[in-house]
Amino acid sequence: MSELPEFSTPMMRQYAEIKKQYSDCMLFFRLGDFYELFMDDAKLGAEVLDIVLTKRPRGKDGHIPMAGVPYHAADGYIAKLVKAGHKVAICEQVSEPNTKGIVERDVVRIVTPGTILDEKTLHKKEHNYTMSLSLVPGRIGIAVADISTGDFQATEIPYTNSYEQILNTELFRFPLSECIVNESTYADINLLKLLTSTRNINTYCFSDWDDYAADADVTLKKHFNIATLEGFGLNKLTEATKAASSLVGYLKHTQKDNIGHIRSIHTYSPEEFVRLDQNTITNLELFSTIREQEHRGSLLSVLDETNTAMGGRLLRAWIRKPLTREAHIIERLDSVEELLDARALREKLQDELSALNDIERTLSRLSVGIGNARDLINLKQSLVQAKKVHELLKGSKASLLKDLYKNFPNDIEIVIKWIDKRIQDDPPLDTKIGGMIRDGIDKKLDMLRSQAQGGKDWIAEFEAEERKRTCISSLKVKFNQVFGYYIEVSNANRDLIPDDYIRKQTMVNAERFITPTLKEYEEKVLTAQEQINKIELKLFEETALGVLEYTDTIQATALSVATIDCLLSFASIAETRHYTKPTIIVVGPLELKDLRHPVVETLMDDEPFVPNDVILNNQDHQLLLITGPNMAGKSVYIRQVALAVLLAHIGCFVPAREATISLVDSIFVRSGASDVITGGLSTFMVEMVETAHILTHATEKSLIIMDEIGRGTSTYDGISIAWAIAEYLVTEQSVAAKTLFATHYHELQELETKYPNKIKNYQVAVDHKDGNPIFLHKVLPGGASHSHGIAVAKLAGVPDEVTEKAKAILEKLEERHVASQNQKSNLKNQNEKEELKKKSSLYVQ
Amino acid sequence: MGKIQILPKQLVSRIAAGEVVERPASVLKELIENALDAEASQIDIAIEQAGRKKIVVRDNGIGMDKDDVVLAAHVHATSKIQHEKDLESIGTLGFRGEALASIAAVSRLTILSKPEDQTLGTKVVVEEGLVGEPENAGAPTGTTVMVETLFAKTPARQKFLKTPGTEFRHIMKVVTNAALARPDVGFTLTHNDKTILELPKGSSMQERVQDLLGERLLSHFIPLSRSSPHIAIDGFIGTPQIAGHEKDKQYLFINGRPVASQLVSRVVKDAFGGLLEPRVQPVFIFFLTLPTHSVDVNIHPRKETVRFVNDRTVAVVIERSVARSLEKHDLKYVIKSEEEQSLVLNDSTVDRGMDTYTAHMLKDMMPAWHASLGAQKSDGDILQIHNLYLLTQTPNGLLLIDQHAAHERILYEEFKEAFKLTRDKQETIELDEPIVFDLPQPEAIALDEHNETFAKLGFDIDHFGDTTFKVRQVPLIFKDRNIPALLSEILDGLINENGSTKIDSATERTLSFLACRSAIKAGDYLTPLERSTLLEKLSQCPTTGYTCPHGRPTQIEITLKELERMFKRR
Repeated sequence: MSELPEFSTPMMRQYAEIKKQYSDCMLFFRLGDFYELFMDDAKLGAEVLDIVLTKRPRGKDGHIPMAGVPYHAADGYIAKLVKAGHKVAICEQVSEPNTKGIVERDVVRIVTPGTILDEKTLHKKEHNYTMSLSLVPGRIGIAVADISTGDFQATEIPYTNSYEQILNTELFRFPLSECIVNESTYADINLLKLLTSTRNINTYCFSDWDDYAADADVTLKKHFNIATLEGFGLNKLTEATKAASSLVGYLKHTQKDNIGHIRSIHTYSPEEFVRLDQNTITNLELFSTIREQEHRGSLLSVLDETNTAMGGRLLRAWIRKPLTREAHIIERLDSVEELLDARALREKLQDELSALNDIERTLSRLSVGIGNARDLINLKQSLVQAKKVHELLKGSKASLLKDLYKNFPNDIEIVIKWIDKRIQDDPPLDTKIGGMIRDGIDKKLDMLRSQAQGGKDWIAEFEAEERKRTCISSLKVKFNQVFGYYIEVSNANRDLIPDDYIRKQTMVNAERFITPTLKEYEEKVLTAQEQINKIELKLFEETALGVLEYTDTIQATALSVATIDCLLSFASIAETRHYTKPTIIVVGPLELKDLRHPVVETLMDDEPFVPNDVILNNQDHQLLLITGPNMAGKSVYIRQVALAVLLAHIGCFVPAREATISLVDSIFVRSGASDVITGGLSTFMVEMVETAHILTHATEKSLIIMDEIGRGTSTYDGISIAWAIAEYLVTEQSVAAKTLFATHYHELQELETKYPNKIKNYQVAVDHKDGNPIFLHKVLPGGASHSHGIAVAKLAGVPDEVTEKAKAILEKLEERHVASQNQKSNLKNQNEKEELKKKSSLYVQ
Repeated sequence: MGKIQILPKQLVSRIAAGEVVERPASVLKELIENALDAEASQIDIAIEQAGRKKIVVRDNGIGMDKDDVVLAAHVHATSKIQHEKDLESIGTLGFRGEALASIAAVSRLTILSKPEDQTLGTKVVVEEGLVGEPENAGAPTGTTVMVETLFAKTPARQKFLKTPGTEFRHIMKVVTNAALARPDVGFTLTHNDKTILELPKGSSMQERVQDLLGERLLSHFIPLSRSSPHIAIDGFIGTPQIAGHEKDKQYLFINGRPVASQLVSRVVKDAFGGLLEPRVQPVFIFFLTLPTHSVDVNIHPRKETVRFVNDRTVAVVIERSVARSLEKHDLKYVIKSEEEQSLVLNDSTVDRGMDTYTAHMLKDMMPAWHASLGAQKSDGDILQIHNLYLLTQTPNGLLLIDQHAAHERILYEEFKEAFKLTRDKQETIELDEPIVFDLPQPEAIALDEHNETFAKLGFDIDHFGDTTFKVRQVPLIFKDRNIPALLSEILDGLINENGSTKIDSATERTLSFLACRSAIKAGDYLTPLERSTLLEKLSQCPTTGYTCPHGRPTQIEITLKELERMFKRR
């Protein structure tokens, strides 16, 4: 950004003054009906927004580059700039234009990726968080806030060697679009890379970060108006407190202090939730598919039958934060069960819910001062609906539903009445043109209204009188913005025009006049209207403030509605997709009968989805080694287990006939097959980094899904690594997690004989017909002996020349392998191996 | 050996075999029955191109082992009867053991099945009647039957198939029947990958009826339940408001089997007595339970009709139950005075017409009644008899007019006129607020098909997702009417009128139904002014004005001569 020159006109001097304070922002400078960008902003803006770059000739200053957008269409342009990663400062005229000097201008709001409030830009069913990070050796403090809903959360996590994996896990708990850090952290290249390239989060250095952090206690206490931070659980979390304080500071900076709707901080500790890292979320395709990044085909697409935006957001948060406490999970499951059985109630709830607006975002708009009277009406209607929804829960038995019913705040009624009493039913969007406030609220307003009405009535009568007086039957009294009220007489009646008419304008076939009396009344009407508008705006603001007094209550109501919506969505899916209530146990085996993949089963065409059983425990079924050919369904099988466990932990029923699920602390899903762009690292390196992460963080309470680990390197390397990992997972007590281990390396099957009390071999069955494999999609005990890679290649349309050649090579290789095996036929368990082969030959020929 | 055995030849001959597979719907019916007989609690049906391309029925029933799957594809193989005497007491839905074989003869049939106690399932493909080698296959417990390219090899049969719309309506009827009979079983139906029905299992009868027929119909149902030593009857009868001109909303199940019975239809109609107009058919859903030996289901190849061993008992029980329910709901059609309206007029959910705009319009039109019919003005008195007929004198004698038929004719002519002038549409009125409403699936399909005709008449109807529609504009004569109810009635009629697909006759049908459903009903009171207006307008109709668009007479003249004869004056 080049230094601004010394301008000669007062307005440009004013511009330079303001621009200096917001040098990191594009300054939208209000000039009448336009927002103008000047200088470098103009050049950049013209390019990003595809608008015309003009020059403003300004005498001594030469030609100033300028580009503008009309104020009524500004939201779209602002959104576009923000999406492109720019911050936009909105500078409005804050004083009335008058003859003396130029109008005062000031920045009223800064729009950044995390603080955008434009409805069209925000995803209705998704949060939009801004994060502040405090990074010191050994500890990370995280604070996140969604200014569009008022949600504010914080946590602090210790780390030993590297913070990256831990931070990544936490980052995935929130849909983030912006991150602020202090100057020294901003210099951390690794962190910036993690935030910006891996996660695509706009990261900025907030210059006052350190000031707010130093004064953290005071800032927070002052904002939340409390005496101690203990209530928020922040008292011992220094880094979290710093992050929270700087975030409050930043939001205040961008919203010019209007963040009254951020009312409390929710401090969580990571142990409250099942750990899902980036790989788990991507590989399980929770929010989008790996290949196309599409919503369709994701778990969310199956689960989301919510009726409100609030419910949609909460559902996403629930999926990101599966619960670890038995009681909380059972609370949700019981509610889902009760709703499932009460079909009529569900239908009523759905009807009422679908008439709800986004309470949280409406409230936020009112809070930051960009709301209007229609927002108030929407809010009122939504609160009425919310009340109806809660009343329907009367007589519920499940504890969560009971609490939701019981805890519905009575104060909501006050808010509803407050708005209802004051705001008209169908107010205009513009808050400056009146028509918002009901009669009987303000004496002066009522008086002015009757004055204005009286004036208008008089003018209407005036027309009739004048017609009579002048005998011009076509005489009309009209109104336009330029002349105000005037009399129009057609040329045919020109000679009847009385002397006291003052000619204002001559048209082709008519002439326009005024009279002093008409102007007198016009004056009355217009001044009254002006005053009305002013009073109404004041009363509107008063009403909004009155509503904001109840921010806590309204936000609690919104959360309550969202919770009901989510539970309802779960019940509805349980019904249509035939899910079962899982039995939750704290420790013990994981047992699922006739388990299906929640997403794949919905995408099946004519073939029915083949359900499978699974047993995992910490004894003889701790690690299941799954072999079988390509395309047989190994990946689907192991993923459906992870998904069922995840679903149970968010309180949803599972796609199985019977389900007993023991609680987990983490779900790790490592897939060798995902070809994510790796940011310079080799595929194998990424694979190993992730494996290392799993091996260091897994506990015996974890669930590990390993899909073809080791395939990023040469065969022998791969086998050795896979072998060693499997062995580590069953021998190292601290990481003895329940594991599903899918592999192509059939050699690993020998592990079952080595660890009969830990490992079990399973295979995905394949039959043969005319030399072609038939995939049975059934998981059976025992190991597979062939991968059928060549057959699959043939199915996929690889030319015969290639597959025939491959077959020949394979035969040769196998001969050599058998020979070498025979040479060192000192395997102790030769007999057992034969036995195993016999068993499996039933299905694998 | 599994549960299925080939029937002895002698038994086969006793069975009234015949053409089982007439159209896609009949295939579906057999497959659903098989699924229900297999104790399924969930049946998923997927149809493509109204069944011509593909019919898939998947159940979660007991399934079949390998032997059974192979046998199932052979003729006269069934697990359901084994000896001749079993025929006398058939408790299962299917029994002849010919369904799958008959289907296989005219299609490509795939059966995939797995019993609960086995890990793997079996798959068999039957093509052109040849049963293929059974293969192992992964499968959930239960049976999936897929019928593809139905009738592809029998072009003669294919020719007899109606339009996809018609064939799909037959399919809907089959599914509706099955789903009504078994609210405990969950059903889903998709057509060309679009979900048409999603009926949860374990529903109550009310819930199932609501899901299938819509809330509006349900609210007009009177529950009915009665049992005697010989027969138990359960179900609903519809109030007269929802009665239609067809029997398509009569659902009869005998021991769980959907059947049609002339006897039952007649008996119910009789029980309604004067509550219904002569040509109107009541709506009902009945479940009759009677001992298997007192009903013969084996008289129709598609098992669609039954014979009762004791007709009279059945008739008496049904008539009494219906009559009693009607009495209990105080639905007697008694006209106490001209001013009093019959009960149906008080119901706001149903469109009745005369107290609304049509009536006002009639009133506003020419009050005088010219003697163009050759009538004498007399005192201007036109007598309304039982709110059904109008009586007036003519130079030749007496004229009796059926008020509904007459108005129907008038409206029909007006519509036709308007339609002819068409392209510069009939006068329409924009609704203050568009009406959004749901229709039952078959009616929604019909509305889509006929929307163009409606548009020409001045309706502006938009498909609004699923089975929801939005009406923005209606012909002026429908101002203030209950539009959804009106449309539903018209569509209902359209669905049941089979006919050619020519656009003109479709239009004609639309017009005549429009006329019929918007006309004054039997039982509506008319003021003297309305009476004379009606006659006036009728007299202006072309000669065809002597019958209603359906061919019923609108007026009967009794000449003085005839009267004299009657009174033996001559």
